[in-house]
Amino acid sequence: MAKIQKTVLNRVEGEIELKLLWENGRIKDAFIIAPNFRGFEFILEGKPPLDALVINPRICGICGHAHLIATVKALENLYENAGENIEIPEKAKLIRDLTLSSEIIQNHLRWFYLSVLPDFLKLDKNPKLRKYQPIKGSQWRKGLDYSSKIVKVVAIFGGQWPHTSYAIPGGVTSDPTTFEVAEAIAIVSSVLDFYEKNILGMPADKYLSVKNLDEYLENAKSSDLKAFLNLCLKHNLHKVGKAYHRFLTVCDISPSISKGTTKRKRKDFDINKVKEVDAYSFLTEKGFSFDKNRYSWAKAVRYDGLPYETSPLARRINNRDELFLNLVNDFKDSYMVRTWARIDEVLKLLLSMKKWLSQIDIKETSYIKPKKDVKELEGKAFGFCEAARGSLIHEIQVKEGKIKKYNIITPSTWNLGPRCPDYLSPAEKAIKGLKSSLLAEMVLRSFDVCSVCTTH
Amino acid sequence: MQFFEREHLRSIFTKPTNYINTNRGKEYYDNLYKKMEKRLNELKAQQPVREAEIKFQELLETWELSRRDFLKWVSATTAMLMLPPQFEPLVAQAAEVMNRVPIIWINIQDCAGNTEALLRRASPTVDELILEYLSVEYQEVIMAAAGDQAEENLHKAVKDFDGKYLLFVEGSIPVGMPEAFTIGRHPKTGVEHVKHLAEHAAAVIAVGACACFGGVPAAHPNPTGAVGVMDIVKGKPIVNIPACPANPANITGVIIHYILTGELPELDSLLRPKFAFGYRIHDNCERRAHFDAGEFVEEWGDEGAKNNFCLYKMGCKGPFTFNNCSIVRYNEGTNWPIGVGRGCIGCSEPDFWDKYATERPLADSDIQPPGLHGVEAAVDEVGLGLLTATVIGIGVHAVASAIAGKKDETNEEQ
Repeated sequence: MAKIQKTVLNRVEGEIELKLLWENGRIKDAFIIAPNFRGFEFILEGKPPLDALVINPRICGICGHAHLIATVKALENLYENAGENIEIPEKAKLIRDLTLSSEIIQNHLRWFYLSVLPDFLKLDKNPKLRKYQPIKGSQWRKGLDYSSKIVKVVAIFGGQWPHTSYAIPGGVTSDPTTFEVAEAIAIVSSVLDFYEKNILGMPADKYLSVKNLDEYLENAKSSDLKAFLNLCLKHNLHKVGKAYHRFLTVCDISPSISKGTTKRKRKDFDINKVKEVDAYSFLTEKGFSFDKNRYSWAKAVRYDGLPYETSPLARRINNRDELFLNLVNDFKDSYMVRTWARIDEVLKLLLSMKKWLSQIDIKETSYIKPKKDVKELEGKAFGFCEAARGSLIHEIQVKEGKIKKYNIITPSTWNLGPRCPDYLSPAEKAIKGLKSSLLAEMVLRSFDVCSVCTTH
Repeated sequence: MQFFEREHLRSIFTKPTNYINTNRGKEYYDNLYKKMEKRLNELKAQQPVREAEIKFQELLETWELSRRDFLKWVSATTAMLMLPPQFEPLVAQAAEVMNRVPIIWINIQDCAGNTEALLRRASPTVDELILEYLSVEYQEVIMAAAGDQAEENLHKAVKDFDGKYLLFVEGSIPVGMPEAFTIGRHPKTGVEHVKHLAEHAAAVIAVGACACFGGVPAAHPNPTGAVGVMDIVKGKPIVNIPACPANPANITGVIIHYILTGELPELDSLLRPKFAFGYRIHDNCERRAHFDAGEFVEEWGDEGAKNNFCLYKMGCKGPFTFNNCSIVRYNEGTNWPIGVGRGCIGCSEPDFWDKYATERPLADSDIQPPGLHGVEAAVDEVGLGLLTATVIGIGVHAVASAIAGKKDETNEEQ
């Protein structure tokens, strides 16, 4: 009979634990445990709807801005559902997309340099990798530097980062000047320059015509992405970490992100097919339960009854990016492809940001007052947003000027949530069958672990 | 609009305050200077915490920072600590002996926002000062170690630096529901974790609104029974650095003060350092002139909003909130909420989610706005300099201000 050994890898990042069951040197089963809980959904109940705009960004210190956008969109959807036309100025839309994109970019840069590359130091003894060493490595520092730099764009338009609250139903409160727009353009250009030289190893337009892995590796100069891909090939990371090969994206950020679901074929996203399952969660429909089988504060979320991966890779697939359709064809949704998608997205967003910044008309108003006070509205509404890690859904129910119920489905709930009676979560599935705990940890990181918002 | 009548405004801004005494006289500063010099010499004689010492100068070079960048930072930090400019050489020396003080930073019911804010500061980066030069023995968001190795590192740090390390806590502690925070192979609850690490620390520094006063998790109905550090840690010096997120400049300020004096800075009744929380946002707000002129934003997007008028009527809590963010700002001084017309939500005050948040009309609130001086009195006394303070920035305060080495009685060094 096979021997089962239990290994706990706690604190993979923030506070996530990974429990592994071993059999014959392979991982037989994996449990992803989110051990922390704060209870935002309960705190929001009974509060005035606009309070959600200051409370929700605090769900996460990394993706707080995405939570603000999801909240404001949910409130705007409340108007639409009540038959009230709500107008958002073009300028406000551009500013929201700009700040959201900078938050996503800062996250990806930070994650690539602070979380992904240092793992390879444990896997590979090549002294050339020292530049990726935490704190001391030159590239590690550059990654941190540029992720700090891009976040200033959020501060310019949103006041501060983390935890901005400048978006309101009807637009944004900020009225940027030409000087501020110019400052943002300078920041974006310098990050793009860093990205081309250090990460891509080729000019952006040349990279955009790349169709597959070999073509990239042949043409790229020495760069961090090239080094990463070669390390993946050397250590077989293009073959491991496969999840369900089903991808979900809930909203558009034109032109780089388009909503949809892909299960072999691409279809539209339908919110009515989303269900949360609490069979293995401490948080249940009726309250709290600490039964033996329950192991995480997160719930499982299923689309049409099935687990879907939501991530930059899902966005690339649903956006029909040729490079990634080819990569998934060649290597499936493996560690290498999932990680590359996150890095690839930085470029798409930087280029979009450049375009949006040139489109801002500072003479236009930032806010159009809705015809009714939000407190006069009642009903149920949804806010959809693409955050760094994937798709974010906020659901609000308002009655008599107060929040009656608030439900949040974070990107990490999709990927790192617990299992349901029928399926493991995508990350649990991706870890199953691996031969080392380091690999398990790396595959878990390829989903960009964030526990704080998983449980909110 | 009876609420905004002159008489009413005068009455709400004339309550007693905990203003810092900024004029302590030459003798006081001379003594403080000598005391700090002595402390720095003691630290210089000590070995750095880590075996391989990196020279501070080399560090500046590897980070491609000039001496001039560093001096700019020194001057801003000296001013923030309310020390006169002649203390600048001491602050520079303090930065250079930062590696004599070990740090342990833990996250409980947090959002990692304070860590992120700290990581997003630069020039000369706190990444450099804090992460590299300061001896951070344990910080779970940025450290490379994971799993058992991380747990071992923590045990080792507690053992090696027993009674010497500064414990930074980010996030609230769920006393009402211990299951809401458990961690490790042998699960420890948040309460056990904080109490254990605090017991062996030299001092505990609560960073962010959650660790100080429970923050968002403690908002009504407080589902997990979240509290701040000071509610469960007794008999240890505690500093609260609230705000959501805490301003990284204030975190560095507390560390530098500890290095300079071996003591925690002078604290107010809520254990907040007075150098940062000794005055109101309103006192140095860039929109203050509009308040004094009676020019208010009446609704989002109106002419007042386009002209950066005062946000008081839009629910700005600046007059009620003690914090220095109107001067220090966020993201390397790039901006702050009032800069984008959103108003202050009072995030450095206890229970602000239930009491202060935007949707709490001031007229209905039971907030006691503090303030020793009336609005006019403040202008008379400090002079028009106040109105231009944000333009000149931090420097204005440097001249007139000073920290105190005096300790709060409840925070007597052990």
